[in-house]
Amino acid sequence: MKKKIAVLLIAALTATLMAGCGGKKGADDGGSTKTAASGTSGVLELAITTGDGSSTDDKIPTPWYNRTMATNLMFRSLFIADDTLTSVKPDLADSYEMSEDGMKYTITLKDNLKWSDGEALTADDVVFSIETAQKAATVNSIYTAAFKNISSLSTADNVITIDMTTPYADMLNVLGQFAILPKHSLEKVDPLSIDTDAFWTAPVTSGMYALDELKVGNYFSLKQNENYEGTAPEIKKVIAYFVSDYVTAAQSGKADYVFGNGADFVEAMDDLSNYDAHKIDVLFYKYFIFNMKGIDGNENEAMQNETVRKAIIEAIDRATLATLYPNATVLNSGVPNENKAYNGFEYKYDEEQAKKDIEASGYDMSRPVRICYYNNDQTSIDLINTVVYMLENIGLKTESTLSNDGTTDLFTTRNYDIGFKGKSSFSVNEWYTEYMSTDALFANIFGGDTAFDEEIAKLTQTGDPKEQEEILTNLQNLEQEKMYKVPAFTVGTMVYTSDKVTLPDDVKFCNPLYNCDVDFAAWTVK
Amino acid sequence: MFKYIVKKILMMIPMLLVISFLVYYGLQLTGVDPINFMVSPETLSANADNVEALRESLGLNDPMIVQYFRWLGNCLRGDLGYSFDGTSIGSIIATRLPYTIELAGYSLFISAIIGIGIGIISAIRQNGIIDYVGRVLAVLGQAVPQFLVGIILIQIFAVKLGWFPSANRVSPDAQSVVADAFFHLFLPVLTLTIGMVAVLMRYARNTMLDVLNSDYIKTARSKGIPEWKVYIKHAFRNAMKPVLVILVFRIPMLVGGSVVIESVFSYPGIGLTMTNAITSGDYPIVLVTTLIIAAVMLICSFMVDVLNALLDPRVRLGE
Repeated sequence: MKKKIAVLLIAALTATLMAGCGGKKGADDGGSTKTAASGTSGVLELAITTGDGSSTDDKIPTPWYNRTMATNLMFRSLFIADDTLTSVKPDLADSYEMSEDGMKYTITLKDNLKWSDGEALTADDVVFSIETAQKAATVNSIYTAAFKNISSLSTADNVITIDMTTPYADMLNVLGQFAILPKHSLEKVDPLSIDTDAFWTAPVTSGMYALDELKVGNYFSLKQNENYEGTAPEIKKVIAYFVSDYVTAAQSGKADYVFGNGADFVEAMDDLSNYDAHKIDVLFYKYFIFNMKGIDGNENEAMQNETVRKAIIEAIDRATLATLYPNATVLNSGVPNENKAYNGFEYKYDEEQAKKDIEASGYDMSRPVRICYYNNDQTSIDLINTVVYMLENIGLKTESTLSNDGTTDLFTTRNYDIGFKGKSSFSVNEWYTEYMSTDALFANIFGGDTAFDEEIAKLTQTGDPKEQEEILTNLQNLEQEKMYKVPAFTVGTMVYTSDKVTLPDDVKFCNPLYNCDVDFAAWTVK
Repeated sequence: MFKYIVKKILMMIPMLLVISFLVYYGLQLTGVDPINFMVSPETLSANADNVEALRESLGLNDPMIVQYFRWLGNCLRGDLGYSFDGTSIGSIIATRLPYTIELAGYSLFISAIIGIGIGIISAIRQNGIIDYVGRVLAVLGQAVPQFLVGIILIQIFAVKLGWFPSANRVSPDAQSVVADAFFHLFLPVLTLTIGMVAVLMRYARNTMLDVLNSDYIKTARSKGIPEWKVYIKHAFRNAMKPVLVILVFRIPMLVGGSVVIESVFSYPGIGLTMTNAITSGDYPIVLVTTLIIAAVMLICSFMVDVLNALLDPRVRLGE
């Protein structure tokens, strides 16, 4: 009996090892079609990071949340933006007209557009995409904010008409980011689960490239889209590897294009002599928010005291905090300092004044100021430790908490006085819409103050630069008076391209989470 | 013996159920809302109705106990459910588990040969150069964390020398499947093997020394049996019994260790899947992958019991 059992056990162990040896085959089955292997010469290599949870390694990144270089090469929009993201030119569109009151857009598609599977790309695809995005959950908020103002969509041949309930100043810019998806592949998919559909393992594309092969957990490769009507790109093949971090991928030569803004990332990339750095100013705000509503919304009298908030901000040296980041610029409102609309106000760091103000406020000094933050990178931890030190310098006791679910802790539980958070904005308008009394999250901590509503509504609607400037001045005055949230700085992003890549002379990169014209067709790789 | 084995196997079922419930409950206790990993606060705010519909469609509004039993019911029907990114967990396991078994299998095999080999030689040549070097390496192998070993190996062999890839399991430009597998597996297998060799080497050396000092070995020698025969026929066979037990007992640690190593090497096995699922709050995947690791642990523990009984006649299972 014992011998039989021994044989069985050995067989089981051997089978386990054999299964291991067969892993390759099993894994191959999980991928899609395999084409002949080719050399990597002249191949652009990209890295898709899965370590931060922003992408999965079993499908192509979807373009309705964040844009990435790989998705930009596969999916096009009606328009394409310039590097500022505030000006567009037609892409899938041939021409467009906007009514003077901003209530109607008439967009004509180019003739003979085709999807990568040969099907015609029509106005129906555009309408389908917008209507689906209106019903989808995991889409970038810029689309939701824009498309909720649409009253109706209609088509006639290759002309799309968009009627609005209210004008939306950023509509064309948003359409410049919004990827059009194929109706014939996705019309039966529930919009709520469109980003998780099997379509993303074998997508039909409209851009320069189509999917060649997806090897789950390893990489996906792109080949030129034969049905792309524009100038064919110089680069014949693109490979995107799924990696845990960009730096190691770059160090081992597996990423010709990477981006980031963390101090560690920039320091490591700057050490690589075979990469060219491109600095980009993006609206990535780092800011303090004050919790006026308290734990579970039971009011927070300490922070409702304006003098306390003023003292806290006077005690924090934001210029010192900014030095923790490689490309940080201190700012004093949602409007960057170099913007014409900036009102010139400055939050002054003044420790002595802060001490006087906190004393005058009547704040109970035995009550600790609770700080909540959620970024667990070392720079954020250092920053909060520095803030703690600065607040303690004016005699305040502090408690800091690193949250593992920032959204819940900041906006639902609300067991803190000062929150520190980040926000990557498409436009300045996004910074201000957080003040809306109807904002589902920020009203929970700011208390639903209606003072901003009218100006914000005007800002989102007007396309007139002078009027925008005036509204922004009013909003800055208001936010500096109310001090519900105080910007610390914006953090610029660095894009790195390897020396294998030759870029066109005049190329300018934009925020890498969005799409803009980088003249990719003219890129070459050694 | 047969009754004992059946009883042990049957006992595993309630144990796995208890583990699954504890993991499910533990994940709920963290208070992390998976939706917050799927959408940004801006989207949550601007798109509240659709996000709420998504939450409802994923069953996240139901009480924890309802969610648990729904998941359990599906599992009993052979449906492991879907991850929050919409992929069938069954297909994820089918794709990823072979990669992990491959990694752990090679590490186990290679570390067994090297660890036991050096351990035996160290015992035979006690206080010799191999013994000293082996002991120092064993201490180092056990003292240095595996993830650090992995990072160091990547920096040396992938970044500086460029001999091996730093990530993934398959290359798009591979000319030979075997060579491609060798290049991708070399560094992660080496990382797992270093720690494992250290343990096996020390254990094999100590048990071999015990055996070599036992009376029956002295008797064998006094009978004039050639030294090599004493080592191979009398000492080695007896010394290997407890080493085999340790070897089997290390399998769960290899699978568990792969969680870290797969992340370091972006190796697309169960470990990396689990790490990414934890990062993105994907409970269904965390639950199933944890259960797989628990099941491996239980099976190996059971195998150790049986192996002990087979190798040592003094052990009587179930009595």
